Formats: sequence, C-alpha cells, structure tokens
Amino acid sequence: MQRGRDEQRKWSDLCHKVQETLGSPSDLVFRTLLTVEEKTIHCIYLESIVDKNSLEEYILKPLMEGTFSEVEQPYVNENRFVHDLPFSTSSHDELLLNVIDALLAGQSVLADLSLNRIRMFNVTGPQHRQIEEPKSESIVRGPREGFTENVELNIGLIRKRIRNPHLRFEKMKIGNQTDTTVILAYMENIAPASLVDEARRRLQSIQTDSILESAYIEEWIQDQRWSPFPTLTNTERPDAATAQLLDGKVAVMVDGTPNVLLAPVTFFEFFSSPEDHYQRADIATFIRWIRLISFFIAVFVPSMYVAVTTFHQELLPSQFLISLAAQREGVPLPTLTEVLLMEIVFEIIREAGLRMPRAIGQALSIVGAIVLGQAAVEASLISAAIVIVVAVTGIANFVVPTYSFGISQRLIRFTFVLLAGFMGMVGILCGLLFMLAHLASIKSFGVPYLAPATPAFLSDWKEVFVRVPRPWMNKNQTPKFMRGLKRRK
Amino acid sequence: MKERKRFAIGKALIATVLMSTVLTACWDKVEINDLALVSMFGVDIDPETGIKTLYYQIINPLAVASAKSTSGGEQAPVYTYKLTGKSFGEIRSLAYKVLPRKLFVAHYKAVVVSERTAQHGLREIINYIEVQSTARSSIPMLVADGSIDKIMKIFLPFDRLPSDSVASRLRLLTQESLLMSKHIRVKDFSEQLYDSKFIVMPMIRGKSGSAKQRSSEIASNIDAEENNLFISGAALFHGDRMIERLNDTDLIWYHLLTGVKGKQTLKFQLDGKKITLQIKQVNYNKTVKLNKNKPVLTINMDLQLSTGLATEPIPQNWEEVKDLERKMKQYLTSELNQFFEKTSKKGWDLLDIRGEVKRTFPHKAKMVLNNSQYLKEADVVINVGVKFLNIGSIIKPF
Repeated sequence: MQRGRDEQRKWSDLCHKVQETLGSPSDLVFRTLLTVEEKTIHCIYLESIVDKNSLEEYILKPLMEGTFSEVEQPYVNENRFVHDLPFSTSSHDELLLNVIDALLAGQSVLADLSLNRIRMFNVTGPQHRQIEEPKSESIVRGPREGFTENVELNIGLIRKRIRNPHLRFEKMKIGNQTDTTVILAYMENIAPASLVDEARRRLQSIQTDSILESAYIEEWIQDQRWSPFPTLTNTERPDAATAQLLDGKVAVMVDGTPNVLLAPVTFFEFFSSPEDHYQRADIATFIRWIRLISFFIAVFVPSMYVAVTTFHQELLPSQFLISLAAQREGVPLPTLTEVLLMEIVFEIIREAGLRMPRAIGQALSIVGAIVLGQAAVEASLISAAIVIVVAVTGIANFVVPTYSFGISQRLIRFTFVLLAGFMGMVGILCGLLFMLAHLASIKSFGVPYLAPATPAFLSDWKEVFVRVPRPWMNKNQTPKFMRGLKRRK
Repeated sequence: MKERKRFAIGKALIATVLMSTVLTACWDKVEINDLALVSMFGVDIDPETGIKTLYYQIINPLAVASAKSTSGGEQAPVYTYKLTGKSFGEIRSLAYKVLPRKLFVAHYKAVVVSERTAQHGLREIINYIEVQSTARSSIPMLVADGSIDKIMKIFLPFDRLPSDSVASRLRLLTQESLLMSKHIRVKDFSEQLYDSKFIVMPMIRGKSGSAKQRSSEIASNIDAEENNLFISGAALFHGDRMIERLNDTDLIWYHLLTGVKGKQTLKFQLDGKKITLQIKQVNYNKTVKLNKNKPVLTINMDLQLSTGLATEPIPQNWEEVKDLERKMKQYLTSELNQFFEKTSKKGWDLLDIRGEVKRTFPHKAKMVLNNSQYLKEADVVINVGVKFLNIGSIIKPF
C-alpha cells in the first residue's frame, strides 16, 4: 500500500516536471483511465501532434474495455511500440528524459502503475501533405511523384523504386534544439565505402542547434564554402534521387523538407535532368547541349553585349552595329549602367513574381516584362537591344534543371557584366580564366568538380556530354570518376 | 594554414586589380552612339600643292536602321564630311572642328581615290590606312572616274549606304563576270608594292541628277540611271602609280591570262556566225623555262563553254560542237596573244614574267632580268583548252 502511494507520488512529480519542462503548453493532455479491471492508467500526450482517433480507437478504448492486446493490435507494430520502461526502478531523471523525448516525437505515454510499467506508443498524426508533383522540377514525361516533408514517406518512395537489400538508410539525429531526423541513404554494393564514410563523418561532425531544411545540412557538409557553385545538388524527385543512388552516390534526407541532398556532384551533371533518360537518346542529347548553350547565354550574353558595344565595336558586322547604334541614339545611360539596371529590375520582377500569389505573380511578370520594358524603350530610357538581351538571358537561365545552379549563374553573370564594363573582352577573359581555375580547384566529396572533362574520363563522356542509347551505356553503373574516390584528409 | 591561404588569395586579388589599372580598359571605353561610323572614305591630293582632301561618309544610324519606318526616313543615311589639310594626320586631328563624334574607321567598306591622285602615287594613302590601328585593309579600293566630290555625295537607289551598294556590286561582278577579280583590296595593293607588280583596281563614276539631293527623293525615283554610281573599267597600276585605263574587253583577257577563275558571257563572231557563249576558266597553270637565258612562259588554261544564255542557234550535233570548240580555241588563243603583244610592247609585264623567273631561277634571275629587253625577247606560249559542257535549254530558238 505504501509502495503504491510512493509510485503515485513519483508519477505526480513526473507529471509536474513534464509540465514545467515543457512550459505548461496548452496542448499537453493528462488523462487518467479506469479499466474494467478497475486499474488506473495514466496517459500523457501532446494533442497537437498525436493522432487522437488512433489513440482512442486502438489504445485507450481497448484498454478501458479490457480487450487491449499488444500482439493483436494491427496498429501497434514494432516501430510504433517504442518504449517500455520499468517505472519504479528507473531514475527520476531518466524517466523525465524519456517521457519528454517521447512526447516531442508525437508519442503517447501510458503508465500502468500497478504493473510498474511505463510505455510509449507512437501515434503521431499524419501531418504531411499528399504526394504531389514537385513544382520546382516539373517534367513532361516521367513519374509525377515528389518527396514530401515526411522523411519516412520519402524513404518509402525510394524503397518502392529500389527493391534491393543493399539499400541502406542510416538514421541520425542532428540539432541540439530541433533533434531533427537525418537519413543517410546509399547503395551498399555500389557506393564507394570512402564516400559513405566521408558523408557519415561530415554529418556526425555537425554541431548546430537547428536543422529546419536540408540547406542547413548542405552548408555544413559542402566542400567549398566561398563559391557560387553548389558542391551538392538537391532534388524533390524520388526518381532522380534513385538514379543518383544507383550511380553510387549518397543521399541525405532531412525530416521536414522535401529536398533531398545528393553528393558528390560535378559541374556537368547540372545540365542533366532525370527526363533525359525518359526521352529518346538523340533528343536527350540535343536538349542537354541546348542546356549547355543556355548556360553560356545566361552567363555571357549581357557581358559580351557590354564589351562589344563599349570596347570592341569592330567585332560586330556593320549592319548589326548600325542597328545597335540607332537604338542607342538618345539613350541617356551608359551601356554598363543600362545593363546592370535592367538586370536588377529583372531580378526584382522575378523575385516579386515568386513571392506573389500565383495569379498575381503571372500578371506582375507580364506587366514587368512587357509593359515596363516597352514603355522604357519608347521613352528612350533604355535601348530595345537591352530588353532583348535581358529577356534572352532570363529565359536561358530557366533552362538549367537545378534551381540552385540557376542562382549561381545569376551571380556570375553580374560579375562578368562588371568585368566587361571595366575591361571589355580582357575582363571577360580574365574572369573566365579565374572561373575555370576555381572550378578546377573544387572537389565535391573527393570528386573533381570538372570531371569527367578534367581529369578526363573518356568512358563517362557518353553519359555526360551525350546521352547514348541504353544498350551502349557503361555496363558498370558507377561513373568512372566515382571509382577513384579516396578518403579526404 | 587557412589564414595563410586566405592571405595568399587576397594578395593575388590585389595584384590583379593593380595590374588591371595598366590595361587600356576604362580609358578607351566609348559608347556606340558616340562613334562616327565611317562607311566610305575618299581621298584627293592636289599634285601641285600637295593639299589633301579627305571625304568621310559618316553613317547616320537612325536613318539607316529606320529606313523601313517613317521616323528616320527624312534624314540622310550618310553625311559626307570634306576635310582639307596638309597631311593626313593633321586632317584627322582637326576633324573634330566639324565632326561631333569620334571617327571610327573599322567598318568602312570602300576607299575611293581620285584619278589624279592615283596617277601621282598612292603610297602615302596606303601608309595612312595601314597606320590607323582600327582601319581595315581588306576592303576594295576604287579609282574615281571623274569628280570624286560628286562620287562621295551621291545617294543611291536600293541601298541606303552607297558603300554597301558599291561593295555588293563588286562582289557580284567578281562572281558573275571576268571584269573583276578578288584582288582589288587595299591589302592586295600594298602587297604588290613590294614586288613592283602590276595590279588592276576598278574605276567608279558618278551620275547625279540635281545638285541638291534628298535620299527619300532618290528612293522614290523610278529612274535608277539618274542618280547612281557606275563601275566603269579599271585602272592599271604599276607600283603605286596608275599608268593606264583598261576597258572591259582588256579586263577579260587580262583576268583570263592571270588565272582568275571566273565566268563571262560574251558574244563571239566565228566564221561569220554570231553566238553568245559563256566562258569559264576551270584550270590554270603558269610555268617558266629558260631557253638560252631567254624566258619562255607557258600558260595552260582550260575553259568550259556554255550556251545557257544564247538566243542564237546553238550546235546541234557532235560535229558542230567539236567545230565550235576548235574555233573558240583558235579565237581565244589569238585574242590572248594579241593582248599580250599589245601590253608587252608598252613594256607592261602583266603576266609577271619577272616574278616567275625570280621564283623559278633565283640564281639566274639577275642575269636574265638585267637585260632590259627580257620582256620583248620572252616567248609566251598560251595553250587554251576548250570544252563545250553545258548546252542551253532551247535547242532551236524561235
């Protein structure tokens, strides 16, 4: 009897501590149930993240009716039946830690003091959106599924595509405050061991308070901090992630975001899209080259325009020069200022278009691009050629399949415009050399960024610079540049 | 280690920025609409006083680009600036007394020199063109037949820019006739100055209806004859001086003998029968031998005949074809020999026998060429191969 009272007191203390630790939140629920066997069962949960229906239907109601059985419960599987602690023999601190962890993870804590047991059931509510087509990586042909914010669902999406026992998902918790679930995924039989070790080492060395998106992780584990070029890529498409895993790469999945990080990545892989493999080989190759050309257009057209019109007019064909000269008659701003101004205005319109509600965003783009541009040209504030240059550049920028690489292009473009404005072609050439030297110096998880061009892996060219028909592809799925991976120091 | 690396990068960046200041960068920056785009350039030098007159035809971009619309249509597409001075450099530096924009000569399409200047020598003009850093020497040079002032101040039908019209006509004549060769550029002229060879430059003549012209009036005038520039014959240069005019017939024989692979349609009279034939040179080679220290130049050329544009009866059978080939061979050989005789009598080494001997017999060249009569004593053998290949579409004209 005395023992029962002690346990009751201990439980009351625990409840009090829990309330105190969590700051008496409004969604914290304490319940006491009386079963048909007249046993008292205590229950704590956070009602905002618990699936109350499941809790009532599969746990509380059967407990009260005396029909609860852990074995027969279809709802309670290994994963959901998380913890079972002896109540009286556990220390107060240990109990508190476990209960808090369980509550924050969306579990329901049940204490049967008569049996001296405290149990945690996973009854997290389905707080994730439905699987939808990713908006940032839309394709014409191919699967429409996209990752969601729920990492378990995302694992399922990959498992669905790779039914292979070698597929590995390593779970870790990162973030002192957020304690976010991060999954390192790879194919054990394909991914180089050194790559997996390196990825694991980098993930484990992260010391941060919060991980709210995969970008948080990216900034911790990327190779080059001061570079406009991303050394990891990300995707919202399970098919793209699967293809990369099958190439021997590693994926980092973060709970709470649909963007899955993939490493290593090379410069030329940014011009590939998952859709390349769903189209005919010749068409895919053509489109890949269009993307490469678009990259050069997006980066170099404004700077070339500035250089040619202010320093090297002799490079243009006469008729072209006359047309440009005619357009510039009466325009008050220097070409460099004109280009910078228009590029910045374009970036503003683009950013505004992204943030606006979709319907307004489209209207804003039209007003910005057509009305503003036309009015500015008619008012002789800018030349028509500038509008064409900015528009072509903007469109070419959207061609690249990876959004983060598109942003890099935008940054580099401004640098080149400034260089061209101050030094003409000499500036562009200097910038280009710097850029190439920088690209050649970057590595992504030990893989040279410009591979397979330099260092040259000729056998990989048929899958990078062209997309050969499937029967001609390398028998070994791993790209050759992945095979020479060594552990980084 | 990282600090040291950053320091090194910082040093490299500072060095780059400092070095970039010595580049002619921002300093030579010029906006496109601050340029006076020269489309044609004319030169006249008074042989007596040495006073030089430069004509710069400057493009008015607004009028050229907006030719299709009406906004710039009333403006002249080019403005001709006439500048006079004692030297080219002086004129250039004083040009801005009248010219509001920076002279930009990289895009001119033709150079016209007056006939009296050509006769006096073009060496100074060639040098002036070459010393201008942005000037191009791959553009045609023409000799004015008549007043250069008039030529430089004529608006033309079709092309808004007179230089475009001239350049286009020269190109078409090179493709479609034997009146023109590709070697009419300033650079061809300057190259031959080294060897003192002969070179032919086209001549141009202007015809304008009224003293004051409006480009829009000319564009709306049906009579293309009234205001136009005409390519008329050519000027033969030896060294930097013009020594003679050549008419169209002379030009054809000259170009055939010098290996220009063009085509020309001509009307021939063979044994009293008239026929229009197109001749096209397809093969040409020139060799020189020495016979008792006298040069013997052999020219072999293969010509194709065509009656594509013939309105007269054309050969109807194999015999007639062979007969025509034989007669044409005789006729052409005779004409070419006569042309050579005529020019050699005047002391013109148009076939460049001197150059051929120098190239083929470098050790004996001095001895052979020291003989002032080498040209008259030289034997020239012209072998013409004629083949009738294309017969016209109408077998029996109406």
